[in-house]
Amino acid sequence: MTVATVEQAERPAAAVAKKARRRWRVTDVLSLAWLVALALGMLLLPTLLGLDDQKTSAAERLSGPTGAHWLGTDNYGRDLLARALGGARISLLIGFGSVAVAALIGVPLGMLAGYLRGRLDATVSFVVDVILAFPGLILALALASFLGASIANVMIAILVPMAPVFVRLAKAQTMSVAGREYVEASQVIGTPTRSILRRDVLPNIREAILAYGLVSVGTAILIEGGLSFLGMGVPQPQPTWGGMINAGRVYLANDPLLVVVPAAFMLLTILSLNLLADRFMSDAAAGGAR
Amino acid sequence: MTAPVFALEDGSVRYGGAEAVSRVSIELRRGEILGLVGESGCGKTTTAKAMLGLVPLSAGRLVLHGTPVGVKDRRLRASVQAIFQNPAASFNPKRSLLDSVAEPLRVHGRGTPEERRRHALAELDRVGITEQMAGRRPREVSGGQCQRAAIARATILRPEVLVCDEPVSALDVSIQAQILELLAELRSEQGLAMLFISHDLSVVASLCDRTAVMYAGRVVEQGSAGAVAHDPRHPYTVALQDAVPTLDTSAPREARIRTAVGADDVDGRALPGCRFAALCPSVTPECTTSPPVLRELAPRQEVACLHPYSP
Amino acid sequence: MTDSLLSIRDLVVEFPTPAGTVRAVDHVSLDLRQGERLGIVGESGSGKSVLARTAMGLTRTRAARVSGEVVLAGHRVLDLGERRRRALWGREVAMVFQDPLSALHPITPVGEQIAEAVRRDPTVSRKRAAARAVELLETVGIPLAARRVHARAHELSGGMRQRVAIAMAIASRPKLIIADEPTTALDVTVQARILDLFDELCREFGIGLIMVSHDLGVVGQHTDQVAVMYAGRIAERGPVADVFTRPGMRYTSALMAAIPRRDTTGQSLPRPIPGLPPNLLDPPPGCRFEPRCGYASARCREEQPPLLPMTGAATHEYACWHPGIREVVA
Repeated sequence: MTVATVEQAERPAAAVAKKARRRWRVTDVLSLAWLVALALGMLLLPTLLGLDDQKTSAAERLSGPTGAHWLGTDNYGRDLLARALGGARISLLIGFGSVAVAALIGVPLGMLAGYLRGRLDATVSFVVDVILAFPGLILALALASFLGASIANVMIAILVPMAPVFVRLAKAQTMSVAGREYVEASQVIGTPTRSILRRDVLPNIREAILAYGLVSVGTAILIEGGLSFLGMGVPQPQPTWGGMINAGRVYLANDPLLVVVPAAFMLLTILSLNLLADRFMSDAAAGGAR
Repeated sequence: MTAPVFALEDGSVRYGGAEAVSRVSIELRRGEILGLVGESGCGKTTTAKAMLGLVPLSAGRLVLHGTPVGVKDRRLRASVQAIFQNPAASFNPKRSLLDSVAEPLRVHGRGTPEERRRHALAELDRVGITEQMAGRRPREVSGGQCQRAAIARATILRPEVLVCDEPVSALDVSIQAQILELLAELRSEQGLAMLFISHDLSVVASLCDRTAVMYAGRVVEQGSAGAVAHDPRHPYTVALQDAVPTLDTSAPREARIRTAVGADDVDGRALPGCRFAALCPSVTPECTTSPPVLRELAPRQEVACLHPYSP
Repeated sequence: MTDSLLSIRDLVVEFPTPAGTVRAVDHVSLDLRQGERLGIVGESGSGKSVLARTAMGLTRTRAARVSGEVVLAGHRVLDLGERRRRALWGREVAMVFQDPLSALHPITPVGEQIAEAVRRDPTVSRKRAAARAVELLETVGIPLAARRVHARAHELSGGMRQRVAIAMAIASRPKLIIADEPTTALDVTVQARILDLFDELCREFGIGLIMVSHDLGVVGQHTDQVAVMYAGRIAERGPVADVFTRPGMRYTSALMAAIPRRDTTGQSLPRPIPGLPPNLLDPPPGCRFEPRCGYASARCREEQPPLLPMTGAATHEYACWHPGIREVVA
């Protein structure tokens, strides 16, 4: 039984927002649908349709959408849909992978720094400040060119500028939670610090971190796209969205699909991630009680 | 007079440059509730935190059963527990009340998860929380029910000392009385030594056995609750008691002492002598030179004043 | 025209929520004459704040469904549009809120804010308004007013800020001040001075006062009439000394027993009222206090008792089928 109070009633905007939070909005559904479709597509379609992103064919090059090639072919006659899905594999792998590692490194460090303060905080913050002094994209470029082109190296190039942001976010969130009465109550009970961090702090900063994480995946995909576009990302013959856009540039006037297809995939993917992140953000802002 | 179960001896706490609490001694005895009153900024909450080991002492020490204890001492945690001002905020919003109440058992390694669950349910039942309510999250129950759960959590380890930091200030009057009743029961049934912090003099007068009054980080008066309520001796205590609006509409409404306008603008801690000197109607030059010490005016009634009020 | 300052007839305020309609004010009628001081007491959920704000015209018609009549100094508040209501504020009626910090602009010096309030009367010049601001600060008892005029809100203590808010409220000489828990956020010694100030202002300028509070002591000592509210209805009302010494309605007597008193020597714990605060969704047909009342009968569950005067004390009214004093209910 919830007690309906006048205080709750007097803020109808908040009440309505609460209801909206519980229901999935259209944008949430569509975003999720796209991502699921993309994931399923990249896993199943190649086998189902017998797609091959490597198969070249001089005869079929630069064709528009046909029965055999739903989105057409590129200048080597390779199926665009197949290549786009191949690019999806790379992008999603690098996107989620680098963010996951960045978070796994950054969040615990941030939590410790925010909760324990003192010298640990001072050291961690210093390192974070130094890394963040470099513009992220430039740093990623520099690292990518230094390390050489491979999936692992691209992931490293992306997560190095990204991890410190997770540290800062986790630290700020932890600091705001650590001051609350229930953390004090746990301290009074005698709960050891690691327990407090795991049970009292982490579950209550989860939403904010998740929201930021989703946005970061979008950013990572964008950076990966940029690196591939510049030729410093994952090397050929692996299809990548950025690489496809770069290669398709010269054909833009007559065969725009070579650019439009990878660009559209990238746009829809990043947009979906951002819209889903929005939903988590509003959950976090409302106190994450759900 | 029995020895205190738990005491703060001559404790001081520094926050930044200023001394939030200066040489305060608090003694908590078994089966006795000591009320600690004062207005905002007087240091009562800081004193409570110091006694709970949440903030370090810059001077003085904590003594449990006659032996000094450190802030990180495990014995402190098992023997001294607390309930806080905002009932819902003192619980993790993501966990059920039952989980939170069982937590102290888990932390101190008592029993299996199933035993802990049963023990927690029993404890909650004693304070009037049903099993169904126990499974809820703090936001889903009322303030009064949350505070009862907080009491269950605090007493589940059978501590000897309970520190209550404004436990009823956030509750409606009709619910306040329920919680006060519960606390009084704990005193008599479990023989708890309790520290009850409040800004509400009426609550303290009706519940507590003894009262200590704090002003600007110092204890200015200490005595039986009745004496402090009806026969206050320190000018600040007199002003405090006079300021409380009484429901007794027949009584003559003549304030004996009123603090000056802008009382909450004055920082008593900056003064070298008595910290109330800037606002006190009976101030003399001696008051500004050195801080008065707590002197016994009557058995177990102490006042820190060079010119205590006499009716 | 009579000297009626505020007249509320059959006011109902409802808020639609996802869970249902919350009826915050349930058919309330009351009157206030010039210079009178009325206290409205109740616990949370009683509807006292909503009542005060609606009387002021603060409740937005988009957020709530309001029906009934509110006549304030001759103006039918509920019929007025936003702009006309604003014109009333500060001129006929002013409000003092619980948290002065949120009522004051954080950056503008307080003197300027008061001067702005003074200049709601367009005939006053800027210079005159500034001088008046200093006068007002002195009136509300702020020492060193001429200097304090330049201070910003956060530089002042809680009590001072509330005095500034009161100065703003009386700046255009309103006929009525509505104070919603004006001292709840203040220390008790500061509260005493602020309440003394209210007493002084009402006496000296003949301003009517509605003081909304959960603290019966505050109301008991600084108002003449009191209305006790429970679950959106008026449970009892009358001269404050009468109501507090001879409460008729069972909620009033239960409330008085539940309040911790300092007056009694020795320790007597306040007596709790069992149960939970009322749920404002789906109001039942009968008395709202019935589930928690030790004297309730079937009639209480089915029929809402009307507000009727006590025999021998026409101004003291209560709504109870089984009142606490030996009374013949007409």
